[in-house]
Amino acid sequence: MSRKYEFDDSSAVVVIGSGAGGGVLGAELAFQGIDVVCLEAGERLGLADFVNDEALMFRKLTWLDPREGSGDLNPGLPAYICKTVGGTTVHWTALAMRPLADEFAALTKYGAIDGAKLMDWPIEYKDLTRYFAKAEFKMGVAGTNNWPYHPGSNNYKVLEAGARKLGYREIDMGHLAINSVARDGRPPCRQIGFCKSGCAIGAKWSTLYTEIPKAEASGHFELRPESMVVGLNHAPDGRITGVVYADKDGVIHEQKARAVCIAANSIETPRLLLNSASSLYPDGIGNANGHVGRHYMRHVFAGVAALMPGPVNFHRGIQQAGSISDERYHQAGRGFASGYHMEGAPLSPERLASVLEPNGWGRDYAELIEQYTNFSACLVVGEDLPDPENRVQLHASRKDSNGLPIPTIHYQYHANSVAMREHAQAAVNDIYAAIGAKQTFNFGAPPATHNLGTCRMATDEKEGVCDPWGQVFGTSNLFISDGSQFVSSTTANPTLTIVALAIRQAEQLGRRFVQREL
Amino acid sequence: MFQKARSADDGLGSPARRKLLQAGALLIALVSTHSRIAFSRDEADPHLGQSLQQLARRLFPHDQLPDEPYGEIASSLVSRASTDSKLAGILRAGVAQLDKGGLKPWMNRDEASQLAAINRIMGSEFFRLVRSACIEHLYRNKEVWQLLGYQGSSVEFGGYVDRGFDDIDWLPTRSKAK
Repeated sequence: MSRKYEFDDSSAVVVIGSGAGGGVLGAELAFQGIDVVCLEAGERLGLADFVNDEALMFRKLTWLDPREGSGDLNPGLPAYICKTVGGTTVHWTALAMRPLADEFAALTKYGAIDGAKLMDWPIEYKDLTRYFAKAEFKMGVAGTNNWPYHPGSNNYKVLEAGARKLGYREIDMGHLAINSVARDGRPPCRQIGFCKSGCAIGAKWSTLYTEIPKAEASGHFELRPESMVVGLNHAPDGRITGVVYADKDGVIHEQKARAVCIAANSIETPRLLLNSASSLYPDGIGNANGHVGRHYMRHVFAGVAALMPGPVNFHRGIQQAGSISDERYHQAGRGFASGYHMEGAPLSPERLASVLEPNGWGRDYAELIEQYTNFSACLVVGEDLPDPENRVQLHASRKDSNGLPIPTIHYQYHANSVAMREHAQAAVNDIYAAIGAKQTFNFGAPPATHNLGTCRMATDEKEGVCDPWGQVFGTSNLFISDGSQFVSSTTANPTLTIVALAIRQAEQLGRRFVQREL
Repeated sequence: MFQKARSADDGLGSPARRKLLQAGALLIALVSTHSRIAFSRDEADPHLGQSLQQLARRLFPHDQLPDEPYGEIASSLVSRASTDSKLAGILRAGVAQLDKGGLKPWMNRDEASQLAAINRIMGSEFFRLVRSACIEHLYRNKEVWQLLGYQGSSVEFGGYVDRGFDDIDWLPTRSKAK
């Protein structure tokens, strides 16, 4: 049964956010018998709310509160993340990939790069191995734990055939956190498509219907949806004492807390720290060295659509149509550091019509769109570099409905990212050409779903916002528990690493609670 | 869909709407209309709506489609403009730009001159706005989906697991996911 905690009950850990970071951390704490109040800005939907309608679900799931992007970002929608219980695990395409071991030492591996501020992570791959395994088991990742890979879809088969012709070897349907067999009380995938609109049968792992109900059943967890956190209160000694939030009617509450873990995604997490400035923390909590909000990273992200000689019907089946990984390895002589994955992904008719040519119109263009069934498409996802000037800040004048400054996000592509993107799009073009594509079309990235690095971890507090366990420097009971901790973006899609870090953090917090250190 | 999110901030209040209605009333007095194009909306400025409808068809011509989907694009733009004076200004100026330099209004010219005029405004704010509206309306329309072969919602049919998610048959070598 779900517990209820009083506002002035300071025995619970308050977890802010219910996605890959907060949903997992909160559940892992509750399973240890530690009381948790989980505050989530979005509403709680059920499987019945997930309909196969991209436009409708986009409006229902996406974080559309006002934000301003600058530089190379879409000004009105700088990032594409969720505001719903389960966070981005509701709309993710479920690629649960491990980074390469040496990617945790980005500076050592690539060397210093002008215009970027590379740093090695203060932890190593081997510190996370155990947690990656736990995360894969928890999430039911196909291709691990003797669970079969998903069968290849049409879109996958096109890419695979082209890639094999070119000699690529690391080609598979991907480590997808989608049930390939029935397990954990959830059915196997039925190739519905619409993974990004929320999985209507719950075959895809999302904290919404896995960790959160299990945490509630533990008797140590209360979820409060539609609760938008607006500030953190602290004692004169800096200890965080409570979390201030607005409920769905805009009524402000303070929930007292034993410790606070922020997992609100890489824009809202630093925004909250900045918006919680006080006389003790004049530039925001954890910001004594000015790193809060800096080093904002995404992934190098772009796409290629190809008109094939026969029907593909790429809209059918799992949206994440496999992964080609041969180009993920850092190689000298390609003109850029690190590497990228090629990941099959369909386009809806609406997206196809938008992206084939930015100003496309007229009879030829309409005829192209009429060949929808013969298209294949593929995204490239590569490592982005940390740059302190790419950052989340507070807007000087614009306020949200709670009266708080809205976040501004500035991001500019590094030359390394531009070179990588061009290489990657050319590689995908070659794959499609090898299998007889009639025409190919490069397209740019939509607003980013991978948002990382704005409260990065470091050994030395002069270099980051939190320590290697996620504890915010200069505080005794405040933690970062999402992708904001990332020191580098790695070539892997980030969710598995976020989940692994959350499991590890929950274990450490549990130990410290038992030892009464917290 | 991203275009939609971008425009969500553009909403303006009712004074703008009143202004537009006044402007529309003025226009209706000036412009004589005798178009064959169906534009059923109760609208203060038929020339604007009819021109937008014709523009929508020229931008994304699918000959099998009736006028209705194109009319819906126009009426949705006009209806948004009724509460958004900035948008209303862009639409009116855009159509005026198309009309400029010909003996007849743009919508009454032959196809070749219509296309030439569109080429001259390509990439403008007006063009991008109408293009986005076309894409959003046309390619979310189930009738259009049928034309394209896009099957849409599948959960009620048990997904595509038994309905061709892996039925591709023209690849040179059959491949299998490992």
